[in-house]
Amino acid sequence: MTDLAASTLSAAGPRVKDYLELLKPRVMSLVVFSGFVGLMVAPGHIHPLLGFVTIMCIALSAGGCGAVNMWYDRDIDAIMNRTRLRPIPQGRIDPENARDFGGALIFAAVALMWLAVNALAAVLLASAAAFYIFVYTVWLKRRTPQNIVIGGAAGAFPPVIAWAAVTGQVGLPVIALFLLIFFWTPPHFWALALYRNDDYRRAGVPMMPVVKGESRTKIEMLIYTLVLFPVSLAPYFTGIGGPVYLVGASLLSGFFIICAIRVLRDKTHKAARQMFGYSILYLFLMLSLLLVEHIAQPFLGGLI
Amino acid sequence: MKKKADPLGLERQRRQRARSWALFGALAFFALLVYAITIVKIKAGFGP
Repeated sequence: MTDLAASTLSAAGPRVKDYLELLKPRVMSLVVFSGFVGLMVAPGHIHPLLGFVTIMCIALSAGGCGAVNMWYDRDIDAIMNRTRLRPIPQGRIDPENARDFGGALIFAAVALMWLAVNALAAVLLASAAAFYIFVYTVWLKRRTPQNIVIGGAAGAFPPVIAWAAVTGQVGLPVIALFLLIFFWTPPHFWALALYRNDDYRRAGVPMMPVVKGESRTKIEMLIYTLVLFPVSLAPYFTGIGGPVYLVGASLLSGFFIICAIRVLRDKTHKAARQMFGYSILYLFLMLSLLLVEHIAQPFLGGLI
Repeated sequence: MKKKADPLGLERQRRQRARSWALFGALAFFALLVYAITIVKIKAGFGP
């Protein structure tokens, strides 16, 4: 599209689709899925409608955080190839409009969670949103290569929130799920940062490959996948995963380590691209294993 | 005299209408949801 055509279209005002794009739907889908798994594996019962409200509030809050993040990072988004087509850098949505939209979504999500579900789930939801916006986006992202390590905690919250919605407390088993996502985050994002290194350097974002170099990043990725291996088995030992999960998690985490070794040996970025793709599949399959085994357990009885 | 069509104005109107409907839909859904939650809570006796 020519610049003239683009400016003409943006002069016509934002489309509904532009607002949906602010919510980072792809990120939201994994957040929603991890929340759903937390809800399903939690002991106890929640009314299906309240379960739906819980997942919806997690999705709304995650979407709101995405919009606020796009407002705050609009300067670097305009520089990076990966993000320059987002609605704000393209001029399709007014930045303050995006910020207010995101803020309203987070407020509505937390209020609804508080009124419909329980106070603990609402407080956790608000904490996760505050952590993502203030700790990750505002404080860490532009200051330290540890940005996504610490900031990754925000993405690990959804199963904990969902668990709290069902049980009214935070139990040890869901801490295992939190840790699984927490230790999965660095190798996932650094795989992306490796092949988007120039993008991050140009924008001045101190991702690990930019600051410490590719070799150091690859070594740290391998260390995180090694730590992730025992952590990924923890749901079995805390009782939310069964033997099927144990075997599946061992294989999937083992292959994650192999991916990290391939990245370490690879001089190009091909292995990093593959590892990034696999990391998404990995988390999806790990959570699916927990879910499927949990659903199948009553039917299979003593078999698993 | 026949008025000249303004494509930008028409597009602006179309988008404004779409945003209004989306907002209306979201608010209507929210109202229905709050209603349904209230019913569920009343049936459950507002207990812990």
